[in-house]
Amino acid sequence: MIFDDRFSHRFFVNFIKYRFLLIELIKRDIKLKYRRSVLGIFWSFLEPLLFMIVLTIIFSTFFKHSIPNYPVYLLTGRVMFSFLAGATNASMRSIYLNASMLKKLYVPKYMYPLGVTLSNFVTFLLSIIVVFLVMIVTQAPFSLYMFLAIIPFILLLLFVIGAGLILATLTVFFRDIEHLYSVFIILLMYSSAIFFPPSIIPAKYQFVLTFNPLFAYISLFRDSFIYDKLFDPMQLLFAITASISAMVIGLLLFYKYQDKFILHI
Amino acid sequence: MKISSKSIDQTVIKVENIGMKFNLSKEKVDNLKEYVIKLLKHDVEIFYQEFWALKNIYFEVQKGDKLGIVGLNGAGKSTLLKLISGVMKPTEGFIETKGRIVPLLELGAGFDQNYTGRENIFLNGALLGYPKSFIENKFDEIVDFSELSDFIDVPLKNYSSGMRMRLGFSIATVTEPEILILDEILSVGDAKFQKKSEERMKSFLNKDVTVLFVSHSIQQVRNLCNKAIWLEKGKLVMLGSVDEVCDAYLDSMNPDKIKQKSDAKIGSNIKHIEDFNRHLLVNALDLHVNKGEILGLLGINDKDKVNSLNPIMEFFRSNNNRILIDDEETKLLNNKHIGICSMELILWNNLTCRENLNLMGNMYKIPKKILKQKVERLLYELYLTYDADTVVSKLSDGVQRRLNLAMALIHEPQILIMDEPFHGLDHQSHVIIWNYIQSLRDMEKIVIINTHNLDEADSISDRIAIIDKGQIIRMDTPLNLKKDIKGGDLVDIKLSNPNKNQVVINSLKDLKDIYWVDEVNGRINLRMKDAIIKLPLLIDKIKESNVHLKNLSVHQNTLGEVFTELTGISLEESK
Repeated sequence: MIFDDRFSHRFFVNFIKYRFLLIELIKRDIKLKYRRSVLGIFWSFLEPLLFMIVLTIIFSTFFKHSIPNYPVYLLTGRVMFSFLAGATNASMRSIYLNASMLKKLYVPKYMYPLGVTLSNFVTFLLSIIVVFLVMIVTQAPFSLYMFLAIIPFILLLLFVIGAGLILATLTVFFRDIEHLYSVFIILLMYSSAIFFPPSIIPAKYQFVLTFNPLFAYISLFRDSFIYDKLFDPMQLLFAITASISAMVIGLLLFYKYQDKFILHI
Repeated sequence: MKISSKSIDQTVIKVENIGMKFNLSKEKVDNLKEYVIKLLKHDVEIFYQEFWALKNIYFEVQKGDKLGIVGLNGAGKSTLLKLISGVMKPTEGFIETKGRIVPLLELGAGFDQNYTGRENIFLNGALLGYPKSFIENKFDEIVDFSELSDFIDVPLKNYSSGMRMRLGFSIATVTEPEILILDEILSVGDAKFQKKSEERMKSFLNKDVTVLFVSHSIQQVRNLCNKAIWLEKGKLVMLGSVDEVCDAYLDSMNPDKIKQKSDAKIGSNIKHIEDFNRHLLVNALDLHVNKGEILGLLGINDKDKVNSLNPIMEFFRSNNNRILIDDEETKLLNNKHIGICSMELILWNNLTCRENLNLMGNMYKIPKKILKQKVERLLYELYLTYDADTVVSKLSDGVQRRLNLAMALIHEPQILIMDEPFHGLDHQSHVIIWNYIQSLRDMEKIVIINTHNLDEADSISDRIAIIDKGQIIRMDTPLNLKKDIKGGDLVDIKLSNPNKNQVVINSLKDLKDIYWVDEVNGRINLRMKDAIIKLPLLIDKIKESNVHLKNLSVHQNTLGEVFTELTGISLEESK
C-alpha cells in the first residue's frame, strides 16, 4: 500500500532528522531535575539507598528466613518499580505539559513521551550502580549470570514505552486518568513483591503475581542478580509477551489519535 | 482556480480541498467520569457541536511566490498556517509541501524558561530539526545576530519579551528557508533590531524563497506579496493578484478613522533610572503625572527594559519614590491602584470571559452586586459581550488581548500600565483598544504605555519619556519633543531663480528665529522653531529680496529623529 510505504519512509526520515532533539530532550530532563539541588545527580543514588536502609531496619528480621540478602532483594525490586512509576507518570503528562509547543511547532509527537521515558531509564541505569555497591557491602556473590539482567532491562524499557504511550494518549482526552493512575501505581507496588517474599501471598491470590508484568521483570532481574540462575522460561515468555503487547497497543493507540491531540490540549 | 501559471514542477505548496473541524461544545468533556455519565445518559449532543474553522480551501503556490493571507480575526488564517506548517492535520483533504519550511509563527515556542540562552539555542535548534553539528557551526552567528552575547548564560526566565523574540528570530532565520511562513513578525524587538530583522527578511524575500504571509496591515501585504487570498469565516472568498484581493477586502470593511488627540499637559520629569548590577531598578524618583494622562515610555534597547514592566512595578511598590498626581503627593499606591496589562496574557484558559472577570473581581474582594455591573460594563465597552460565554482558549488572539485589558481594569485602578498594547493586533481590536485608552483619559485614569513603536507612541501619548542606558533623557509632549531638536522644523524652499539663493540666504540670516540656513542641492534649507506659525513672516522676508517662490514645504521632525538626536543612535545604523 502506498500509505504504508509513505508512513514507514516518513517515520525513519523523521526519526533521523529529530534524533538530536531526542538527545536534547533527555539531556534537558536530567539537567533540570538536578540543576538546583546541592546533591545533584547523587540524589538518584541516595534516594533508593535511604529507602533501602529504612525498610531493611524494619523488615530484615521479619523476612530473615525467606530472604537471605534482604537489602539487595529490596533494591532490585525498588529500582525497577521506581523506573516504571517515574517514567509512566512523566510520559502521561508529557503531551499536555508540552501543549504550547505542540500547538506551535511540528515535532514528531512521540518524542515527548519517549524523551522522558529514556531520561528516566538513564537514572534507572545509574541506580543499578547502587545495587552493585550494596552487593559489595553485603558481600553478595557476583556471577556471570548477571549479564543476563540486560534482558529484563530491555523488556521493562519496551513495556514502559508502550504503557507511557497508552497513558499519554488517554490523559489527553481524560484528565482524571492521572488521579486513577496514582492510586493504581500504589496498588501495583504492593502487588509486585518488592519488599516481601512472593510466598507470603496466599495461594488463592497468587494470580496477582502471575499476571503482573512488573513482578515478572523483577523476578527475572532477581534470578540473574541474586539467585544466579537461568530465567524461568514461562516467566520470560510472559514478560516478552507483555512488553510486545504494550508496545503494539501503545503505538497503535498513539498513532490513531495523535492528530486529535491538538484539539484537546 | 490556480494562483499561478501551470507548471507542475514549480508547485511547492498544494492545498487540496482541505477542511478543519473543531469541537466547539461549551462544556467540553475532558474526564472519564463525565464521559461515562454522559454515555450512560445517552447524552450524545456533546459529540456533535462542531465548527468548521476552514472548509473547501484549495490553492497552489509556485516556487518564489509571495502569498499574502488577509481576513479578519477568526477567519481561519492562523489555522491555515498551522496546517501548512504541519502542526495540525486537516480533518479532510490534504496538503503537500516541497522543501524546508521555516515557520516564524511563534518565535521561541520551544524555549525552556529554566534553560540559559545557550542551552535554548541547542534545544530550539533541535526542535526546528537542525542537526547538532549545524547548530554548533552557526552558534556564534546566532549569538552575534541576536546581540545577546552578554546574556547568553543567563536563564531565559530573566529575559525580557523582546530579548526572547530576538533570540527566537536569530535561531529561526539562521538558514535560508525554501518556504517561509510569517505571521506578523516582520519586526522584532527594539527599533534598532527591527531594522536588522527587516533587512534579513528582505534578503529572503528578494531570493527565490516562497513566502506565506499573514498580516493585519494591508499595506505590508501589498508591499511584500504578489499574490493574495482572502479568507472569511473559514471560507475562501477570493484569490488572485495582491492588489485585486486587497482592494476587494478593504472595500468590504468600514475603516474606522482613528482620531489623534494631542492636546498635552506639561508635567515635570523623572530624574533617573539606576543601572544596578545589570538589573535595572528605578530608584528614588519623582514621577509627576496628571490625572487623565497617557504617558509613553520609549527605550532604545531591551537592556534598558529587562522584563520591561518590572522596573516600573518596582518603582510603584518602593517607598523611596514620590508619586505626584496633579501636584498632590500620593502614598496610596499598591496593587489596588495599579492595573497591569502585560504582553503575556494573564488569563485562565479554561474559563469563559465572564468567569475570568468574575474570578479576578473576587480576588480583589469586590462586592457581588458591584462586580456584576462592572463585568458587564467592561464586556460591553471592550466589545466582548458576544464572546462572553466562550472559553478563553477558543478565542482569537485579538479577543484574548481585549479580555486581558479588561482583567487589568476590573478593580478600577487609578494607574494602568500597558506593555506593547498594539503589537501584532488586528485592525478591529486595535481600534477598540485605542478608543478605550482614549476614553480612560476622560475617566481621569493615568495610563503608562511601554512600547517600541514610535508612531503609536507619538499619536496616543500625551507625554513621552525617552529612556536610554537606564536614564530618562527627556520627558515631554510629542509635539515639544519634535519641535525642539535640530533647531526646529525643516523648511525647504525652492526659488524660480536659483541664482538668487545666496542673496535670500544672507537676508534670512538676519531673522532671529532662524537657527540655521544654507543652500542644499540648489534649494534653500533652513531650521526654525514653530515654522508653520512663523511662515508669513518668513515669506515676507523672502519677498523683500524680490524673488519668486516656486515651492515651499515644511517638514516637522519625526519621533524617530528625536530619538536619534537624543540617544545618538540612528535607526538606520546597523552594527
